[in-house]
Amino acid sequence: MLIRATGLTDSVNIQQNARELFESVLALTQDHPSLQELHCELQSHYQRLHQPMQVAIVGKIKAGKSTMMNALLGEQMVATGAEELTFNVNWLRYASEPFLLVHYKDDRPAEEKSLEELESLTRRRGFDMEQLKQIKYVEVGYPNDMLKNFNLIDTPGLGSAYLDDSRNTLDFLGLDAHKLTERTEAEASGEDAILYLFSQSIGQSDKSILEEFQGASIGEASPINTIGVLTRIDAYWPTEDNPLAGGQNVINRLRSEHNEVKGVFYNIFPVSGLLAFGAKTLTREEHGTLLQLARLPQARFQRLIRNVNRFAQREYDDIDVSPQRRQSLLIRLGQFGIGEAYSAISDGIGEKDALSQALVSRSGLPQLIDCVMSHFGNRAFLIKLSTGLHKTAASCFAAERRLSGLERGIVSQIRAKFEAFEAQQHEFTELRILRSYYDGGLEITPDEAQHLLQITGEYGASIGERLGADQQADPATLLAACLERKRYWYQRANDVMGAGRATISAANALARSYERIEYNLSRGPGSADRQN
Amino acid sequence: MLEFAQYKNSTLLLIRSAIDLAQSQDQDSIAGELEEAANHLTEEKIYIVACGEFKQGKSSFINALLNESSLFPVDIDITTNLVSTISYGPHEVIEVLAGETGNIISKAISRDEIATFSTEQKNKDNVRNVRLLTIISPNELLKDGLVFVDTPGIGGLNERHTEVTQTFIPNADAAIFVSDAHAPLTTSELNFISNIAHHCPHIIQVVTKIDSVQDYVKIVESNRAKLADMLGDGKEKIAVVPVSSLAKLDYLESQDEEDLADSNFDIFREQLWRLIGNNRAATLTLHALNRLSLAMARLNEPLQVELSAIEQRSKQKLEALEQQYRDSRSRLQEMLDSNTQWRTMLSDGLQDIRMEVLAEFQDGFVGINRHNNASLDDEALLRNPQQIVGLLELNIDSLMTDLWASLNRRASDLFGQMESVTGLSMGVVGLNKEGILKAEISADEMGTQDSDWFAKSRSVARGGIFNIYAGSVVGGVLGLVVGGALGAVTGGAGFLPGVELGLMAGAALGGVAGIASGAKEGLAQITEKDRKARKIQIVKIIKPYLEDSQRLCQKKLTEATSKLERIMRDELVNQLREEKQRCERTLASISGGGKLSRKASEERSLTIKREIQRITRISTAARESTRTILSKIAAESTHTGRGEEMSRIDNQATHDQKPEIADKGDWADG
Repeated sequence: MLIRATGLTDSVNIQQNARELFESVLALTQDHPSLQELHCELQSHYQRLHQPMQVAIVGKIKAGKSTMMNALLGEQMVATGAEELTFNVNWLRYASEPFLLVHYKDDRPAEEKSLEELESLTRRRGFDMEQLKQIKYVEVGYPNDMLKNFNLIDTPGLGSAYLDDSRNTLDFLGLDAHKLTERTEAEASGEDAILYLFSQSIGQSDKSILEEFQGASIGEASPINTIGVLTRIDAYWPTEDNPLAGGQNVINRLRSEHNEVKGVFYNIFPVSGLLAFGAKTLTREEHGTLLQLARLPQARFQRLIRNVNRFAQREYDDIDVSPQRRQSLLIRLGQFGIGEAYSAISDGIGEKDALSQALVSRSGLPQLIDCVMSHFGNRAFLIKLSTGLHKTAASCFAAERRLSGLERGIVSQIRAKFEAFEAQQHEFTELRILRSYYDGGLEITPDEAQHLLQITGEYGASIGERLGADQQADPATLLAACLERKRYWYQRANDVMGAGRATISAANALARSYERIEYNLSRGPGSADRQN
Repeated sequence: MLEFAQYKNSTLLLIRSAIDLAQSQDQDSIAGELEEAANHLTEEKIYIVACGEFKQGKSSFINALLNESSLFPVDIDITTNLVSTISYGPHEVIEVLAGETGNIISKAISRDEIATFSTEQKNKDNVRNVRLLTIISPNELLKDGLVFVDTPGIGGLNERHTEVTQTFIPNADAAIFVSDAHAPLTTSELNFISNIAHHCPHIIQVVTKIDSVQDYVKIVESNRAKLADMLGDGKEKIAVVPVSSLAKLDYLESQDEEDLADSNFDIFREQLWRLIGNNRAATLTLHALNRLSLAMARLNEPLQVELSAIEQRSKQKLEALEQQYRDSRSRLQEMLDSNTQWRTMLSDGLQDIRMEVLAEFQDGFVGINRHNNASLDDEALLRNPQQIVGLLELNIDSLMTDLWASLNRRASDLFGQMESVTGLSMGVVGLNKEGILKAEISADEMGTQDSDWFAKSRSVARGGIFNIYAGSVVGGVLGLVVGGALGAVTGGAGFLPGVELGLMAGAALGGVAGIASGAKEGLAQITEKDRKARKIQIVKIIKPYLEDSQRLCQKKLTEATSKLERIMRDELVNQLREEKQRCERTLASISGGGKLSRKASEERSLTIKREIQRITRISTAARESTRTILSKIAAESTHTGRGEEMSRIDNQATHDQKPEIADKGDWADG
């Protein structure tokens, strides 16, 4: 038995406690006909706790949402391909057999359609506008392994006054930018996590981008559940030899110069969705074309790729790849991607799968996925539960206004139970501290911030990871580390002159977190098997 | 491109040879006058302002245009936040001017330091308080007097940037609007172009980054269609030129023709010169040619008179001639004395102009106030009161631009009247109205009397003198921003009088912008939610803003008319003085001619004839150049239906015979 496996007993406790809570309130509401609606809602909130995380993809129109979606999934999703459909909400989840359900705004039951049918529904010629407007969202089941971890919600996009040129499409659909933003915000607010996509190359100042971050107060958006993605970084090439590093510089500056950014995002990643998707789905023929191009001398190749019109349209005696083939390659990988492929092949990475992998790694996508997995993944249950509690409170509030007498009393009782639960569970306190840290509300050193991130499960949920200790450390070492940190934070909490109230109370709470680990460790290794 | 440069260079060569001629005849004052004309032509600047949204490749474009691979910092994460000017000079000098108005310090910096001062990233919100970056460069492309003004991007939300840009563009000789090939022009970009087109009709829309967009032609077509649609029929078309700065900069290293062709910069330069070469640049050259013709006539006349004195040998006729010049001299002397009639007429005329322009000004402000009251009832505007100031600024700017133009037109008319009152409008042969000496002097040979072209070129050139040059307005704004230290940008000793007026116009507009930025800051701080209370607070800020602007503009207009009086008086006195000297020279030559022996007379006669031949050769070349330029202007304005003045020239020029291209070869060595 490895110490590493020593589980996060708290997590087990909180799951168990949450189950007990929901079961008890479901029992309370079960037999009252007038509480039937609330009962169903509570049931659905409860069920959500056992489903994968819901990750919404948000961003302005044309921020590259569809490309990013395809890149994350590693395949082309038909449903998101058609322009009109991106103005609807698409909910993608895992299914062993593909299916597609159209949910309507009225009481009509959801209709099953084939992907082809959906596409024909969106085709402009003779497509029924009214019918499209009736759609609430489109649910797509797909046998894609990524969807086992997350459900992806593709939102219509945030309208923007600057993007007048997308307005034609919007008018066509009878939507305006404002409505679209509203709809996107409404949709995203219900989700567990948000990927906020933006691209700097659209030609706006930093300030207007920030303005939008701040303007788009999407429900519960906070650093806990929002990750920024700087898309279309391939457009930085050739001004910047390494667009990934260039994108990182842009992000670093944004973060260092604008506190607002820290307050909105947990982290921001530069990603070329185009390259990631193209590389993940590289075909044999494309691979062949790349190998052929790689035979060109360096200088000749550079001249060719620096100009898309040369690359995709002109015949040259010394280049045996036809412009047509070059063009289709360009559409799939972009100038930067093809340049990277050339240098990868020159470095000896010629085999198709290896090349594909090398290119994916240069797109920035793996770093994003890793972060989503660790940041959201390690706290998945807590984040889902937090969303669940939030929704439950909303359901109760609505029910209370509707009801009176005995039933109303029951609902109040339920609400009180949930409130008490949230107050008692130390994890929510930790989540609040994390949030105020991201908002810049804590006066702590970088080392202390590391403690905070570790203890709240940023780097993993095991005791070792929460203490920032060696994975192989024995229980005695862990206990010693834990006691040291507990002492440190109690000391910090007592230094009332050294910091503001928020920091003092956070220090107190963190000391208690260590105390809880100390308790678990002192109970001995027997608890190790209970981790989830 | 080189059309204007050619005219200018050939005119300069012509003036050089005329100076040699004048010096060889010991006519130092005429030589000096010609030196000054040459200086004007060399030192006059043509202002081209580059503008556009952020991150559209503006800095790369200017680098590529000037064949400078790294003059302006270009980076994915760099945005320009400063106005920069680039003009010609023998050595590279880069300076930043920083500090508050009235206390501006200039500091020489190196190329590597440009980014430190001029980018949003390294000098955020301009914490260094830099007002201007001036670059003087020995770049051959700037040698013809081009000054590029690079502005921070428009759009976005940074008020400061937008303000600076909008102050400059309306006053430029030409504007280059840059957008990239990744997207067609947006509505806000189109609105911006539409705004500046009112003030600055010479616009080129450059579409950059065509190296990274396959179907950039579609974008270019779309921009073309949108611009044509916006401007409507009958307006000058805005050329849309796609370019690849990357290819142009690559070409500097590779020297590969494919790079040059892909860059499309040759086409751009052609368009630019077509645009600027045929208006202001042409006017400048005409002005110089006009002064050259006058100088040649002044050189010629005493020689002609002397020649006829030698050849006539008729005592009676000689005496009549002498008498005529004595009369002229005393008439000129009278006019040079104070309290003469023309001075009163000039004062009265200017008083009328002042009254008329101020009345127009008052009317204009009544309209602006009315418009402002309407704005204050607009819900959307009340929520964004800075926009109200923005609208007011545009209105004031537009009113003032119109008023300066009107002032210029009236001043030019008045000056024409004054010239005819004083007899100056007759040119050098104006004194021959009795025709006594016409045959002998054969003024027609000089082509200065009856021919239309003289009057025409004089009228255009007169416009040139008092024209409140767009460029000098730019200079004025710069002057306000940096408070002096502008020699490199606005030209040195060779100022035309109009430049001074332009500086005033610029100071007025710049001042309005300054007041506006204060008002905007105040408005930004209004947090009041209640509609009524909010409106009251807004009015509290806007009212004094309007009053201050009105006061400032009125003050500048009044100052300008006073200054105009001084300029006109000096100019007339100067001309009268020169005429008087000419009379004296002629009188000296008559008496000299009479005293010569027969043999000496014959020799002298031969020498004079040779000299006259040299003068005639230069005058003929000058006349040919003038004709060619006039007909070019006429042809241009027929195509494009440009401003009033150009159409007038058009009408006159149709009487003219078909122009021949001026012979630029054989006169120079004459």
